[in-house]
Amino acid sequence: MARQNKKPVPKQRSFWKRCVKYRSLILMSLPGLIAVFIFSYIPMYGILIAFQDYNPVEGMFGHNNWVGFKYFKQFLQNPYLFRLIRNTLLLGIYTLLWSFPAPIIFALLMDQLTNAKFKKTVQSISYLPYFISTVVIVGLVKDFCSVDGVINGIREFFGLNAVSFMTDPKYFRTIFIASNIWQGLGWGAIVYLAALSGVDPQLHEAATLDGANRWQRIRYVSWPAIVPTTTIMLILESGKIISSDFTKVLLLYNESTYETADIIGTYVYREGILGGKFEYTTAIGLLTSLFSFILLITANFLSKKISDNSLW
Amino acid sequence: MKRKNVSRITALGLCGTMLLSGAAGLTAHASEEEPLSFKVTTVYFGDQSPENTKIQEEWIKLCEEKLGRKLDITFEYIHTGDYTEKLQVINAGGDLPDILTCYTTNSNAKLMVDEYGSKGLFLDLAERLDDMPNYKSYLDKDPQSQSTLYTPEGNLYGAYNLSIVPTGSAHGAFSTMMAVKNSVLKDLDLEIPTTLDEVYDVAKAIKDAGVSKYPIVQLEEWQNPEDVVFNAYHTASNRYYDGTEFKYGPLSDDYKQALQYLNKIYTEGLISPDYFTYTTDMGNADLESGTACILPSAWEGYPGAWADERPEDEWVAVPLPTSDAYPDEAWQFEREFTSEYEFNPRYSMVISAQSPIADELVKFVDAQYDEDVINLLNWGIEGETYEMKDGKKSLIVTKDQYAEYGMPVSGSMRSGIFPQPQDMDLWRIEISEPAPIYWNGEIVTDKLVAFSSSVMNESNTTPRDGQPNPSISADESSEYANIMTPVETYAKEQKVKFIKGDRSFDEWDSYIEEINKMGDIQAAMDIYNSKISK
Repeated sequence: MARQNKKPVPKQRSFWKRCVKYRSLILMSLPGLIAVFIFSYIPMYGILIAFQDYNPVEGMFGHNNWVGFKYFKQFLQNPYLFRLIRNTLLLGIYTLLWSFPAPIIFALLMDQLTNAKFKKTVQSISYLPYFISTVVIVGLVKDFCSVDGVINGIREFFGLNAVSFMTDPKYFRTIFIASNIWQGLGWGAIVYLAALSGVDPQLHEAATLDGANRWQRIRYVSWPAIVPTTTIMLILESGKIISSDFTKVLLLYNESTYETADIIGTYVYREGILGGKFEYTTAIGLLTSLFSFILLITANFLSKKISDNSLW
Repeated sequence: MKRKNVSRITALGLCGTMLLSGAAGLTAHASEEEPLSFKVTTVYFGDQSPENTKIQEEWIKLCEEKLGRKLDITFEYIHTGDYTEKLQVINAGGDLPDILTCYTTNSNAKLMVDEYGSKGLFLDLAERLDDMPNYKSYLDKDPQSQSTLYTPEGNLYGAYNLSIVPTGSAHGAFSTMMAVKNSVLKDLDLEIPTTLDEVYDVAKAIKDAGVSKYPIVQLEEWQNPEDVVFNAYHTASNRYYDGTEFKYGPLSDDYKQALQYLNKIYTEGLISPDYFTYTTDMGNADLESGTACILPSAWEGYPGAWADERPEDEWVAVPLPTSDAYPDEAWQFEREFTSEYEFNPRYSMVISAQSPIADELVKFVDAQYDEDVINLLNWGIEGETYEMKDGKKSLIVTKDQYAEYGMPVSGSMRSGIFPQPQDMDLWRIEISEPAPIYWNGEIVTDKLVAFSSSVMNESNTTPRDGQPNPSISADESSEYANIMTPVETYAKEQKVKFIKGDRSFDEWDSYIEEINKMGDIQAAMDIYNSKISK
């Protein structure tokens, strides 16, 4: 018994020793951990109102009527349920398909540039849209796409009729994703450029000596260097499929484009914040979080199976 | 020793008595002098709040005088554009200021007031009316107050927006008239249109002449040209009162005809293809650039104001156009108020039920309905902003000075707490400009209320005139929303498709079938109809 009790002691010591050894790293990550705890974990008790007829006077733990799964059933019976899920998923999937590879391709292309000045200029220009607020970006997009805007100006120059892009549901996803790529291309490429900068130039030289052309160098030298980063980013992005940039959708959409633009996030905003149905929309939020969680776990599992790269 | 002890105890007792009496005196003194401190969250409409304006300062002084006590009010002003969202969050959070303005831009705040009031968030003023003689006297004077302000259970959670209407209140339907740019019509030798068909002909002629690419314009977001067309066809895009009961517009044949008309002007390019997303900025840009020639729906005050601001355009107000379906039954005029004292359930101020000084706040809120306070927040200060002549008040400050003084009539700088009781003789008659109005083939220049009162008759009055405004319970409100939210979303989307031509009118029967599948519309209408049949 005495021997058994002694076993954990060195482990604990080693844990504290490691803590002391890595104290700088721990201190650096502490603010982030505290922020996540305060803003992501503590408010979690709020999901209780998804099961209550919430009364603000009583508070969450007062004498509220517990209503079980009433609000979940209400959402599942909503005639727009299918459309909301379809729009949310399609927007997420299309974003993943188009917006995710764009920075990777951009980073690979940038890596091939030899003129340092030109490379820096292009990089700086590509970062700029990221620092413009979404409201301004959407304002610009609306101006470009309006009947009197640049795009219609070009159409009219070639003898085509003006199109009301912002009121036609069939253009919504294209506008959304194109503006996403425009805004996030440069910023998104930073992480891949960092990974590419770690590639030993001798590998490229060796490949060149072996007769590899530019495409083959990208394929066999640069690409393997960013595969782990790409995998991690892909897993993280897959969890966001169901939570598209709701702010941007809200700013871009209108009643005439609901058919393709109304996603769960905007529906929750309309019903919850504007309509005051906080319990109902908390239930919807909980459902979507659960779905995102399952997606993330699945993506991680598949990645582990296929590529040996995973979050855990 | 004993004697010493007795004397010590006596001395201590005397000291104690003196201290206690002194403290009691101090306490009594302090409660009289100590200001009544409370927090108010309210809305503001302009670029800045009315703090530090003369009327605001005078209003606080007057309230102190009425209550016999100093006031220390901490204001939290939230801009009208953010108020709807913030109000929902304030209420749901349960952390209320002592007094809160309930005002939303997208719906009737009364339903919210009743919902949170019934949960115990707001004070039930029905139980406090004995301490509110001013408010109670006006409630007694409004014949509709019982049915529109109280909940079906008899609770009264808000101090509602009061309108005092001494002279009359006839005006244009929806507070709008059509506005046409007569200078263009004169140049092209066109008559001022009074029917929808004439509007189409005139717009087409203007476009063909190359004067404007899109002559029909939506000026402001709340002035949708569609509403004018629905009105001409005696229907609406949502629930409306037809004179006998509440109906849902998008189910009727009248609505279909209105959509066919809108489809015609849209597909022929007489209105901008972007008009579904038109903003006030875009409308104003069209006004400035000269593109706007016909505004089917313009706030009724604009043509009068533009006569001074842009005389070269010669804007003329035209009572809303009629349709070929109802040529002799125009929905053009309505009374804004049907009695001399009328409450509007859309806007109110509420008192937090958790406030420790609720009793004092009841008196403070009641003071807002005091005659002197109402006078100050409407006409301002005698001799400085208005004068009395032959027993009649008239303003002696110019329009530009309203905001500077913090006069609520400025619209932008509303001293006091919104909603302030309004003297409609000031708001609708005194400050309105005579407007050029096209009527019976000639242009007359008159103030709107006077003109509308003189021409309003049975054949041109909308059923909204004096329509019932029943109060429904929180449960009924929730039931109505559950049915109608998906129905209304569907109807709005299909409306756009029909207007744009993305959906053929041959599919009208399928549309009716589909919309009925979205929810039991009749059951939702019956919630309101059951109240008016009682």
